[in-house]
Amino acid sequence: MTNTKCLSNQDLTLYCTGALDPDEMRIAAEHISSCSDCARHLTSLRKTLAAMPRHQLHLSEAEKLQFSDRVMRKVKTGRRGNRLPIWATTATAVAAGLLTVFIYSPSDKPSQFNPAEVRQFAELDLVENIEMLEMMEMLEMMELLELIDDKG
Amino acid sequence: MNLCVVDTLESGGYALPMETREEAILVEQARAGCEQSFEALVRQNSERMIQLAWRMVNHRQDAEEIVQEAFLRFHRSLDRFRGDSLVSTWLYRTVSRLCIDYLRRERIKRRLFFFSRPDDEFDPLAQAPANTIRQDDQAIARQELVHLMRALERLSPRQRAVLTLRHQEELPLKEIAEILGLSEGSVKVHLHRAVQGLRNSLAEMENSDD
Ligand SMILES: [Zn+2]
Repeated sequence: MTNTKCLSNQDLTLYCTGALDPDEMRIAAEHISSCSDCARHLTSLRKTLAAMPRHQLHLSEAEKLQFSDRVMRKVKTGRRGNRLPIWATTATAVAAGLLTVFIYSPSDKPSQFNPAEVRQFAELDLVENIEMLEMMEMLEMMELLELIDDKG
Repeated sequence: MNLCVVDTLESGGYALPMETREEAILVEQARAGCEQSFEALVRQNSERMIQLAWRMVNHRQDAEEIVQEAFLRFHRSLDRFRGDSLVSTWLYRTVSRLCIDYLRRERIKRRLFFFSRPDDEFDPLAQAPANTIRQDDQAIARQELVHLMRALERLSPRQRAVLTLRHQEELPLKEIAEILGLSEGSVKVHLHRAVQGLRNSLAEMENSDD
């Protein structure tokens, strides 16, 4: 038994990632050492994080040179990456089309994707070209993204 | 090779540590149009930034594209770059945000078009450092890493970014909050949900293998 309170799930995660304040870390450590429930939970969290390795990336001098050469070439040509808005007009039209589909969707919940609707999109042949996927940036700008992302 | 010379150092940072002072000089020279100085900044920061992006997006080539875009943006913002901030801080912020944008697009692609990178295209071991995995353990290791990637894909882009910045980059929460433009409280929530989500997904996949 212990006289301090059990840690909340969130505090256990923060403890496990060393993200509590030093004082809180100390109090948590004391509690965990005498509470088998929290200790068990912590073991499982540690196992989860251990699955995510911290691989280091080492670039050779040649790789670094190659990379900086590529960047410098782009800098010199003044190109803005490979996202020149050549397709922008088309993408806008497609995005507007998608918007219309959203707005006039016969579904009860027009603001949410469901697989059936999504398949319909795919069948509309709106997207023939993989580059059209870049229009997602525009959808994002229109804040439609927040409808399908979980705001996480 | 012509040397770049700048008369004055606007940031006047002589109280700064040597490395920071050298960096401030390079920024100043790059601002004045010196390509070698800019290139030196690229070379000094490329490894760390590609590692960051690679950890976040799990794809080496795309990671390099993201970092390249970050450097191009940095070049365009040289005029506005304040001498009292570190280049690495600026890059960290930009690369992290570009990665989140990238992860969002990938997520939408997967949802809209049922599109997913085929397994053979992202061989996790091909990207892991050599000699870290024994031959006979490779099959298991590969399976575990595929699980990990699938589990990471299920996290929201922000959860994933927070997890990478804390667990792999080992940054303090305060810094993560600044990089991502979030409050410290919501960084904590994202971190908790990320670990929780990862744990659930991994357990689920482990069970479905049995
Ligand atoms: Zn307890």
